[in-house]
Amino acid sequence: MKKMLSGVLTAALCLSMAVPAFAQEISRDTDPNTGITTLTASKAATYVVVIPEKAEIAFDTEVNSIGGIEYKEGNLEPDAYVTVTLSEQTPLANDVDNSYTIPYEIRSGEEAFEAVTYDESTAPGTKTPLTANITKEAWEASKSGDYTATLTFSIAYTNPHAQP
Amino acid sequence: MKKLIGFLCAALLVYGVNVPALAEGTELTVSVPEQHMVSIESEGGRIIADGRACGDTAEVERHKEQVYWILPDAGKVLESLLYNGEDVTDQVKNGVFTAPALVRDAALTAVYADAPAPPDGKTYYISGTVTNANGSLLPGVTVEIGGKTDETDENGRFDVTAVPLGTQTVVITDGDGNVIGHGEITIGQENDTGLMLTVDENGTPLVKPGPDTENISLELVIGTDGSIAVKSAVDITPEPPDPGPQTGDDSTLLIWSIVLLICSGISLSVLPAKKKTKIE
Repeated sequence: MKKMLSGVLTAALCLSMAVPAFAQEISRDTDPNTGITTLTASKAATYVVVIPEKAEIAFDTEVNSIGGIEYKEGNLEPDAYVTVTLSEQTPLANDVDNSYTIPYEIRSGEEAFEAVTYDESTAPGTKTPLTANITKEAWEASKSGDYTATLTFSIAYTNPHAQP
Repeated sequence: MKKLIGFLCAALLVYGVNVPALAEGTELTVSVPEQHMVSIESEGGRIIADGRACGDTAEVERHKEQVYWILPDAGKVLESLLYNGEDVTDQVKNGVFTAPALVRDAALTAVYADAPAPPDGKTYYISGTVTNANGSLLPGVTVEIGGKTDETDENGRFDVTAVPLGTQTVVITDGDGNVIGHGEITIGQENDTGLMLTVDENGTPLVKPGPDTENISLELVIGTDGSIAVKSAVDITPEPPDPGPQTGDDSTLLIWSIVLLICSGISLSVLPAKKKTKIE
């Protein structure tokens, strides 16, 4: 049974790589003696999005650049788009006592950042700058020590024409 | 059923589906310092923090309300004190300024002016003792009053000379040079009824000498916060020796007159008694 399943999967892989070309035989007796050849081709959509790995916030600075999201390159299907979402944002917590936190907000420009979308019209190299904003009052209240937070970005590709 | 599952997996591989790709997390870090730097400018005086003279900078613990002692040099008075550019001169009490809790680097600038000259140039000899808050005498500490210094002996006694009128800075340092006591004392205008100890409108001890006061004894007490209080002030100016009656001195005329009358009365009573005896 396992061998059979392996064989089926292998066949499926082969089929996905090779495009079958079916031939039509035309002879003197064929009516009509013309043939139609249908050509098909397909290419998978690709994209490359870069997010910052690490960012150090300067003490007592209210607006800190943490880099940004870069749509480095993409080859998207018509009407398709890539969405980058800030799916999780942990507290900026003291490494020794995580009950001590510094409130912060991730922004793109003046607005709080939630998500950004890139489509086929987006030029390669497009950047979405991000900042970590901490108020003056939050800095003044913060206790001494080292703090760490983690941002998680989710990236999704959507093709509205894709077969379900 | 298993075959069906296998075909479905193959179809999945062939055609693919739209699935989200979760990215790695971005790590944010920040370091909040334990101390902050306070830049100090104090030409014409000293600024003391935690018993030590500040140089060009002082390291202060974050969120600490740092106490600074502002000590003008001899012949100088504090004209203004700026903290982060804000004039805080009116917050200085008896030469002490308490800065708000520190949350970032700061700057402290003291500006001094020449002290006004005493009106008549009179100066005083000041001696006394130094004790701590527990009442223990402190030998071997240096007492500075108005720029004049002396080290206390084994009995905690000191004496300094030529202290002029006006508000004088009082500084007491230990053998290691640490400032252990700081305050001010004002030698005020003379009091007609004799030496008096009180406080001025700023709470600074005010000593008003008597008209003949030349020597003053002070009992200085260092509080637990380093502030110096004057527990007592005594006029110890020695009495001048009695020179006896002088020519032109009629202060004892009444006494001599009474003595003369008494002697005259005795003489008159004795003479008639002698005459009576002779006749008989």
